[in-house]
Amino acid sequence: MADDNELLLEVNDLRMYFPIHKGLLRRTTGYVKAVDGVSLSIKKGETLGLVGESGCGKTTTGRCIVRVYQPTGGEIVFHEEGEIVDINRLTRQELKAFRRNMQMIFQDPFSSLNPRMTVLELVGEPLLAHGIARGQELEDRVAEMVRAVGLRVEHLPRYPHSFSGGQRQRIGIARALVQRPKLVVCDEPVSALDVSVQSQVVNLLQDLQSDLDLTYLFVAHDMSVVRQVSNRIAVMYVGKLVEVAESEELLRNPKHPYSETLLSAVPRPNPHHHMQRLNLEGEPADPANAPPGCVFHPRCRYMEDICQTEVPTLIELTPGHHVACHFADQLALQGIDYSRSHQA
Amino acid sequence: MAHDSLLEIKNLMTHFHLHEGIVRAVDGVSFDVRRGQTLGIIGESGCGKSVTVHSILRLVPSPPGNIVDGQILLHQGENGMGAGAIDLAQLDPRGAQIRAIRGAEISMVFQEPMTSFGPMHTIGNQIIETILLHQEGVESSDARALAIDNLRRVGIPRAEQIVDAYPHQLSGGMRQRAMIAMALSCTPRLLIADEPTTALDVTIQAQILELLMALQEEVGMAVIFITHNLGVIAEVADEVAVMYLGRIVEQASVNELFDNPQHPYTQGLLNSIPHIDEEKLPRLRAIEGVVPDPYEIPSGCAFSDRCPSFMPGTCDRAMPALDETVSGHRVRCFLYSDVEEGLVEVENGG
Repeated sequence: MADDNELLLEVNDLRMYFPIHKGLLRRTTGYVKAVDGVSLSIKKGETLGLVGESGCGKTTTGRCIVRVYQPTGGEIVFHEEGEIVDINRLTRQELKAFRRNMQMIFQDPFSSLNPRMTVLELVGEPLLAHGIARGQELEDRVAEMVRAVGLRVEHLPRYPHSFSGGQRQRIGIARALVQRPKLVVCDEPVSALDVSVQSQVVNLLQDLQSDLDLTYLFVAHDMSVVRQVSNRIAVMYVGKLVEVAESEELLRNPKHPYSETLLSAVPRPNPHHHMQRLNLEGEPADPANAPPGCVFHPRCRYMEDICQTEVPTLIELTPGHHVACHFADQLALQGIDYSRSHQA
Repeated sequence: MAHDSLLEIKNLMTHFHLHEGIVRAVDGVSFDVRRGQTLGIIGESGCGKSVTVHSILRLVPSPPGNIVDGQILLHQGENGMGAGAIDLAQLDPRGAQIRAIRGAEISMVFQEPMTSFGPMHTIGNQIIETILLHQEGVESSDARALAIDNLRRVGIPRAEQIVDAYPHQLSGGMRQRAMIAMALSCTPRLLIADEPTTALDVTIQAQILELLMALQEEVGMAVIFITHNLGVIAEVADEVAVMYLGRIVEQASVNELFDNPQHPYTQGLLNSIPHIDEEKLPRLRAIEGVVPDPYEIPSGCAFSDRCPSFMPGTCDRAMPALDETVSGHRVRCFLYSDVEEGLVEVENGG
């Protein structure tokens, strides 16, 4: 897919701090560091999976990239036909015009569609807003898009309530893709759907990616789904990236203790699979009051003194495999072993 | 057959009478829950898995819901020999008898602990209330100590302080632990867990599953575990029932079901999910179509409109019966048995 190594997006030291207000005067007493120094890059045509547990900042990262939030700091550099645009520096006007390059697919297809708009209006709205098409041309483009996501033209005059969750998610996808964006941030696009419908939507997203030359940032918590769609996976924990690697490499050969635990916690649909699970004690740290040193150290099985004081940086351990752990090159961590499941 | 069964459900039908028509949310479900064992019920939204367990505790709102047929037998004696079985389906849902059973003999853990704890009372007071209500001869001063013990047992740190916390002060995982502590405070014989880990993160889910299994071993209770996650069911269940549109379509021991799935729906579910410990497939093998609207269930087999093995003239003509194909493995599909629903009693009798 991503054979030309052309970059589409580079994120450097992205930070998003939400102020905490307290008291009568609403004084700022601290910050929730939802995203704290995230750097990543996405190549043209690839899917980068961003996984982590709730509250780790993965959704906030996605929202900063399409600038739903105004990031506190950092650069978001978008490469567009030879031009380089720092999304974080765009003015409102520039941003509005630029938005057609990047779109978002949301988790909940029940709350993300306006119930008073028909499918035609919902999918056609972005075209109108950007002045791309109107009238008959708009209807034609909407009809084409609606067919591409597996709905029928007869559905155009209907309202969202008459559709199932899976169909609503298709409407959301059509709405995001109708203006032919280059980058799509998919924020947990299948986690609200039924099991049998999830796979249909995953397949649809993969088909559309190759048909429309899309680049995805796929934000999700389900490691199995992320692995299915992603070329590379980035693992996030309490506002920071802890590991980034090619997806099969990350699965077989995790280098960060948190990635190892996440993989081991995935429930396997195989009753013969009785691996010793690596139990993670405690709960994720509070991003308003993150521990000093490595944010993962209070839960880490391999913790040493240095982890409590020094923040590890994300370094490239082997080509393409980035880890933020003081002991990444020393630990022998347990990944996914394909051979074992086949004995069963 | 029922010598060690704790709960026997026979032909349960729970229907909802709505303006648009009758929704047959549970339409002829039968199963046994054996002492100390875990029955997993798996299915997609709208399959009737939650209504089934709500029927057991008589929590189905009426109107519009009604148990129109069937028995829910809760066996009393330790060896469970028929004598002293209570039919929960016959009890008054507001009566003293079912209220004495709820929380004491059968208790429940819900998906979202925030909505199942009252927000205005501390965790401790809610657990103490349960204990005082169901355990005779316990003084309120002792009840507090019992509540703290229960919180400690589910792995809550600083239980003496958390006992005075309000639900909103706890994280999702801690709330679910507190919920479990409350459910187990009266040592129930049956615990119903309705998607208890769905709202939790994977690492927290792993903790809660291990906790539930450890407590089950310690207390010796039976568990009905409802989920839509095949991975979770493989881990916790001894026996698995797969539900589709108000009926069980397949039931077997967990190993048999995953090694030898027979119903096309079960096979479809297992094939459609990504398996993390197998080679990656270029595409997932999705089940076609969507779960039909409850008012437009296809005639014959309810899965016939999505089934890759659909046989015209057979599957759309009659509903197949849930028939035993291999010992202990029951399937509702004409690929394996000719028996139609409704004829099964006659066949067995003759």
